[in-house]
Amino acid sequence: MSSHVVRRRTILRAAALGPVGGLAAGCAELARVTGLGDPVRVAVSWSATELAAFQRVLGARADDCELVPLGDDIDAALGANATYRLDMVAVPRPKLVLANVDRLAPLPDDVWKPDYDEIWPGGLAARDGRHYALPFKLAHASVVWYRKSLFAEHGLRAPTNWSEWLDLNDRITEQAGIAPLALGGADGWLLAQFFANVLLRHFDGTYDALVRGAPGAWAAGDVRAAFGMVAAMWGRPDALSGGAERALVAQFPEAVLAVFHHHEAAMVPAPDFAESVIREFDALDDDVDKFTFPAAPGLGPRLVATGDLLVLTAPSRPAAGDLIRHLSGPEAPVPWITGTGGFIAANRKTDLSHYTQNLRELAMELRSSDPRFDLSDQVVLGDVLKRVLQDLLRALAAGTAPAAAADTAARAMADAERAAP
Amino acid sequence: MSMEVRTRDGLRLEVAGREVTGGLRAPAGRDGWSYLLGLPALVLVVLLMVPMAWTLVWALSAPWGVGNLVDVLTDPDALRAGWHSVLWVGIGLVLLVAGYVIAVLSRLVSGLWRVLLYLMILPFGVSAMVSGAVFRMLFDPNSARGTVSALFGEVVWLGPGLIWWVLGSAFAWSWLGFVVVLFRAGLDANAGVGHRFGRLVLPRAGPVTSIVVLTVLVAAIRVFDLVLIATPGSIVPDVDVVGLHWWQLTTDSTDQGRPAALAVLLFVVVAALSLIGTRGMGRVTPPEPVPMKEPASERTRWWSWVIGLGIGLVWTLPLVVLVATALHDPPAAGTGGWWRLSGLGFGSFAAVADTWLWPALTGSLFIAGPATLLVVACAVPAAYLLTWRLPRRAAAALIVLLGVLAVAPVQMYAGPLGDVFSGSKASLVLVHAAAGLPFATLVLRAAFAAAPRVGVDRRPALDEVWRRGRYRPALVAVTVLEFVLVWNDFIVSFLIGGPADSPLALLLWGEARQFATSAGPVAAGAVVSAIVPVAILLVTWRTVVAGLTGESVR
Repeated sequence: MSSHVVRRRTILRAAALGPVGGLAAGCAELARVTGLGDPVRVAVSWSATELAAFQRVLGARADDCELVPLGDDIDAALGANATYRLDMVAVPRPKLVLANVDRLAPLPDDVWKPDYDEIWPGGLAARDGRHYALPFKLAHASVVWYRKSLFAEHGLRAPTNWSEWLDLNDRITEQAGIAPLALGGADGWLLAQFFANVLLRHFDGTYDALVRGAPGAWAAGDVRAAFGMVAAMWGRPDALSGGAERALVAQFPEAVLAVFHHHEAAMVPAPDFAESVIREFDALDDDVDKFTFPAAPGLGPRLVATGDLLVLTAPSRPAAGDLIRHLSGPEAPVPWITGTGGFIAANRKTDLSHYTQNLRELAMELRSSDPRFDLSDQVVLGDVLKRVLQDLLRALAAGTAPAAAADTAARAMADAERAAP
Repeated sequence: MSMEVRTRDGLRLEVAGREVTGGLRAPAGRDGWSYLLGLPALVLVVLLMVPMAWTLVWALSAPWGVGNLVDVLTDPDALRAGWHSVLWVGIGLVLLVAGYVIAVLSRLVSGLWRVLLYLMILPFGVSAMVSGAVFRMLFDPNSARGTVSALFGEVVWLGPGLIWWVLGSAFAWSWLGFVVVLFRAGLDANAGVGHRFGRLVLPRAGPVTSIVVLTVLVAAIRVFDLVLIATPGSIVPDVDVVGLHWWQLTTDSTDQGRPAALAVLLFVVVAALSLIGTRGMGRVTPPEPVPMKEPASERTRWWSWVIGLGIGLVWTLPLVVLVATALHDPPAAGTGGWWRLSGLGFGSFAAVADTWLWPALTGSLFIAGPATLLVVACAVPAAYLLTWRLPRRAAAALIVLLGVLAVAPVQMYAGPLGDVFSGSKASLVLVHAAAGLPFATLVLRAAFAAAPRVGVDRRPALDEVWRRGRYRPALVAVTVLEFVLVWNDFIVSFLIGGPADSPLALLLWGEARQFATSAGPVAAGAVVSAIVPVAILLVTWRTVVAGLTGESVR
């Protein structure tokens, strides 16, 4: 009922404001062409729901800002070839900040909180005691979401180690008659996070070696073992919703919907922001639960995390400094947390009561854990890894035996490392 | 009608059957000042050619000059992309043959034809971005959402292999109407005249043929945004084309040489196509006109009806899908098909109106409007000079040059321009105008040359071109085509403006990153972005066709 009212109100507002919005935008446009107005230009990698959520975070300030949704091309915002002036960039990869620190302005003094250093020790750019990147959004990327009612109905329990998970998958296939997993293979980053979880939570030494860029790290036996575990799970008959080929062309939100809306699968490995998809598509909140990626004994506290950092381009304008100061406040992201969901604030002062039950638990686990930034965002071969995992999925779809597919994948990574300059 | 005779030493004579196509006499000396009229066009052409030369320099600035070219030609990924571009030319050829056959058949069913034409020309006003989005919705592998999957079971249409059918049909949907309409106009103008190919005599479509062939083949080889939006990220290697591979090269590294070499290779192929094509544009009559009778047996007539009806249905479906999807609220559009009655509402329109729609609309308008004005203002004097003032040899050489520039892929000048331009709207307008000028000038020149005349061999003054009714269709045609082209543009803004100056197509693409679940907002944005060009085209297409074919408005 209430959602009905909201929706109608949205439409009425859109209908009423539409022409005005057009006019206002037109005026802003005129102002820009004539050089009178000068909005703060903020480049973000978000699109669709997340972009709308960030707009709500900006609130009244949105009028003085121009959002530039760059998607996967966010690298270009900081690159040498950036041809347009940006004031602020929301960077999804810490290494981008480190690589481009010369083009950035230091943060305003009062913005930095000492506990930010604990988020990724050594991962946040600083020079001469001044910081260059403000953590804004954190994401817990070691999550597997599942439908509570399905687990209850068949007496299933969340797995605590890898072999339990494999057994669970088989039981779901047999008892529930649906696929245990939904996978968004069209989004290479999602597959890469799955792989990163397997690696970090079983072979953490190798994970660290890869991040360090140790020579020959990709040729390690642990890497092959991790590929083998991944291929064995994905390659089990009927393991993937719609089959491996469907999984290959499905994007991350489709995989989430396959579990929570279409009920075609039982579980979906996806980061905390899957919650925004679940909420947008009206899944029942009390049917949503999650478990943390199973780990080898003793490796529990090490989690895969991602996040978005806000940086200012040099020379920075006072208006941009004001905006980043506003966004650093604990209450700033609350409209995103309550309105859209799937957001964990980097600022620890943000009141936990704003979160839903699931997100609060994830936020708390993230705080008490030992988070490692996602592998593919840190290593040179990150994009190669995504492609290799998609090829692995493709091989499984074509009927290749899992072990052979894993061998090919491991060899491809080792070869790519050897060929890299 | 005129005929051409070539003597052995290359001298070309025209035998006037109706009237001559250009001034045979050398222009009088006092006409010299009028060449100044071509100055604005010249500036734009230079703006286009300098970065192209720069790209060539980048491509050749490697050890022994050809290092980059060798690199590209030995890179398996680039070769695969090249092969895919060749496949696209094949798709273009199939489309041309199909369009010709439909145009011939359409002459037999005049009543149905009128309706069919309106249906077929509609998608031509729709951007490649939008048509790619519609076909990705149609072929969604989830049978709860995808129309084709719901009808024919869960075949993974977007997977490797079958994705080519999706892309090919999206391309055909956009272009077939254009091909049919122009061929049909050409056939009508040349009724009763045929072409002999060995034993086969085919109805002749006249000089418009070369415009159609050139436009479609160049569009096929320049395919970019269609692939980008319709293909899931994991499948892109299966349909990677040269233009797309160029973009990956430029984003993956700071090396300028290899992408430049790739752009040069693409340009050489397209330019060769264009040279073959414009050879036809210079002429008014091909060598061997054969009188022929229209085949009009009952059997052919019956088949024409069936084919016409079939095409009519198939051609409407994507538009129905688009509008119906947009009329569902985002959650309903993201989880169910367009045919469901639950979840109807304006929520998807509200969602885009709340975020990016209005700035994008004004952005597109502020780019497309001025760019069109600039192109028309520069192209009309240039075409006037080419048709009536310049010496024949100089005009012929310039036509060849313009033909080559008209088809130059954006990748050929995007690199250096992107480095220089600030990505402001003004610079985008300028680039669009420069890119659009050669084609506009060629179309205008062809239309001026082919327009019905009063008197014999009379050269009008420039202001008569603007004033006189008989040249107006050509002006309308160029204005409409240029506006639609720039309005629907993705690649120029994307590669040169950078995503910061986001017109509609760019924001639509951002929205489509989470394609299936954003179906509602994507469709709503697509509907709004398509309304403007489609409406303009529907209102003006008769004049446009007349302008392109040099006919008077029927």
